[in-house]
Amino acid sequence: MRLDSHVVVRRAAFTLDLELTVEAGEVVALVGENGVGKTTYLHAVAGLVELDDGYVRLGDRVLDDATGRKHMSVEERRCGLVFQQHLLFSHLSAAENVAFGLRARGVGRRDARAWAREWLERLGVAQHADTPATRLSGGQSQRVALARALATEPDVLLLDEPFAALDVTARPAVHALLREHVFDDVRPVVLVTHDPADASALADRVVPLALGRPAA
Amino acid sequence: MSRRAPVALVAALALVGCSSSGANDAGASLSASPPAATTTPAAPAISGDLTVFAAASLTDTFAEIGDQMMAANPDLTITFNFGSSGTLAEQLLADAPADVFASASAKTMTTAAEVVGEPALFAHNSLVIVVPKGNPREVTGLSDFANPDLKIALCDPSVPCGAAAQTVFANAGITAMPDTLGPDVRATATYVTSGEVDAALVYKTDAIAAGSAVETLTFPEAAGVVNDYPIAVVQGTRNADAAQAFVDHVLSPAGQTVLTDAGFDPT
Amino acid sequence: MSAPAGSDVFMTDRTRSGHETTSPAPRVARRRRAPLPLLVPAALGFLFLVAPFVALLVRSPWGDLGSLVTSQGALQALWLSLRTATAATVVCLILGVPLAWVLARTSFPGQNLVRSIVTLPLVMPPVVGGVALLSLLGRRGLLGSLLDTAFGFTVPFTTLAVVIAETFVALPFLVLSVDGSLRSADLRYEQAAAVLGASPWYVFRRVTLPLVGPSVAAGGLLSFARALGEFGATITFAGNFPGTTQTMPLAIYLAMQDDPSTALALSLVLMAVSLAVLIGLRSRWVSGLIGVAS
Repeated sequence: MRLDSHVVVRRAAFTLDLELTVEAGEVVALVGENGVGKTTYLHAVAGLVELDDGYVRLGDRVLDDATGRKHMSVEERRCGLVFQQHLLFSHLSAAENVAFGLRARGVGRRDARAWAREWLERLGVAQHADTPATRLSGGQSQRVALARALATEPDVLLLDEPFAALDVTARPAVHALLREHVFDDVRPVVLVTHDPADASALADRVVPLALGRPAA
Repeated sequence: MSRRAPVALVAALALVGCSSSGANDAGASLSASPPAATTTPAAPAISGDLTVFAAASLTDTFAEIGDQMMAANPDLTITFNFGSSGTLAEQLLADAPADVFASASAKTMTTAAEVVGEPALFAHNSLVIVVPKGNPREVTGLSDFANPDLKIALCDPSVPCGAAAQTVFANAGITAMPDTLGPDVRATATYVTSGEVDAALVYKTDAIAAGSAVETLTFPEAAGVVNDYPIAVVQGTRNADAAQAFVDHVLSPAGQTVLTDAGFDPT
Repeated sequence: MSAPAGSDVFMTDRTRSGHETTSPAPRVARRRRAPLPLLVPAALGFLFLVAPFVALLVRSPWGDLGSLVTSQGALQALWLSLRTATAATVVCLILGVPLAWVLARTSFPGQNLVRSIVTLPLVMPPVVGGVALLSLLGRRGLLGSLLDTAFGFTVPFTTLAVVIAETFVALPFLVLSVDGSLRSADLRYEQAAAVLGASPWYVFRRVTLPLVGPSVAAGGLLSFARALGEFGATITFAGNFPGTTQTMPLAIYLAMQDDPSTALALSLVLMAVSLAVLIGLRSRWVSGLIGVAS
């Protein structure tokens, strides 16, 4: 699987114009200050933002092609996006959050639940499976959000500021968690962060971004 | 009295909002005028504000009578409050500001007895059958009201025309099969005008007022059931001369002509 | 550098989306004493609303209340009112929630006009609504005449007509309530669900509805209360006949014509039922839903 993209999105404050290819198993970190278009790039790949120009291809699937006016709907894209604010569904428990994507794709309740437990286990939060999402701490909800994205076995993983919510002491543990359980040699990963230290610690390649374009 | 007061009070509050059009100077009503000289409508001494509470079925006739009086008395302003007799009686009991009360039934006048003077009968009204123009379901008489296939409207028994209809059917030994019971006679007539029902029992006056959209059938059983219309001066009136003059005018030949032209039977 | 800024954004969001379940600060703040310029009008406003009802209670025929209220006519009207108001509320939910969704989540030309039209029954006299319904569904109405010739079926003077009239006046309450809540709801939760592979319909059922559940409940409650009190459209369109179309408000109005103490007694019953519904639903159902959704 390979992510091949040229994303052009025009905004009032800036124009995002980023050509980015991520190979199977590669982890690319997009680094830059707030408001340079990092999150916009992730949302464009996930289909939440429409392209003004360019294309997004994932493996042999065309997700977006501005010239051909193709825009695959969000739910068909098989993208795993972990939002900066996690956005766990507050009316559901941790396990129900993780099972959500599977249930939405028609997986039976029992299977989805077993699969969700397995992912919570891998990410070290199995003991919180039945905890309502509103009662999870910041670190716990981040792990649940990761599990929720991974449980659907997406073709690409998009991580938006996964460390913003954590204090500095918690970071090494999350780094290890990502390396051991989240990154594999098949799935391309795009990691967005404003912290160059996090980027260099985790990424195979760092792409600095300044006002919508790759920094010199 | 005390139990009824709250309902009447609410009604009276609603009324205040509706009938505050009498914008005459308050001083005018105090200007003394010889009481004895006011028995003929043409006497020019009547002035001030006059508020008349009258049954809904009197809407057109009383408006005309009022215009006659105001034409003859340029300083007189008459304000009408037309409504269901029962509602008006309750409003009077709650001290609504009225000078004259004309009701569509003796019963409602009795309800208001403690706040009005001696009532006088000024008209009778009898029931007729009304059908939509062309009489599509070929209604011929009172017995058709027992046909469940017809859409029938009667007045609700709680209002005078409904009570009269009940008496008519009881006398005739007919069990009516109404589909709806109108809250007042005008509403009942409207169901016929709009063609929603095939027949209704309403007052002759309302049948005439409904115009060409309806056809009227008289029926023999109506003869024994007439509705009496009493009128009385309200005791608390602030313009007793004008109030009495209005009552007198209604009872005068000129007033009676207006009423009979509209379909009322004279006293 | 923006590390603190980042966590600030995060904290704000946590608070907004209700992740903090119990924070003592707002509770203390809420107990603050109201300043006099607010307190006096507030008290007057409350008195203005409650005093007429207190007067109604004081002047009610308590002695005969039992027999008046349990008379067959009263019970019949009450039962009809409860049934029709419930049916109208169900119809409002079935039609109103999707309508609110379309208004809030899609954009099409003339949307604001549509939004205005939806709220029209709210500002029009209900009698006009009744006349409008007659123009459409009456025996000589646009649609009603077709029904009559095709099936020999006429809508006016039936219990169905009562439900239609009540739905007509109650629907805007539901749409307004849900539309407002949908528009202020956080769209990102629905986006997150879509990214996870959920179809728009699945997103609506499993994310949107729980998100706006409290306002759906509140809107349904308002619709029910409005339907329960409906008078003008009902008497104009559905007519008045005991057992079929005579709801409590109609029974009260007609009782006022010749039997005011019965009218008072019926008013008390309607007041008690409405209040019980409002209090009961507020305290249990609605707050329960709010508790779940926040």
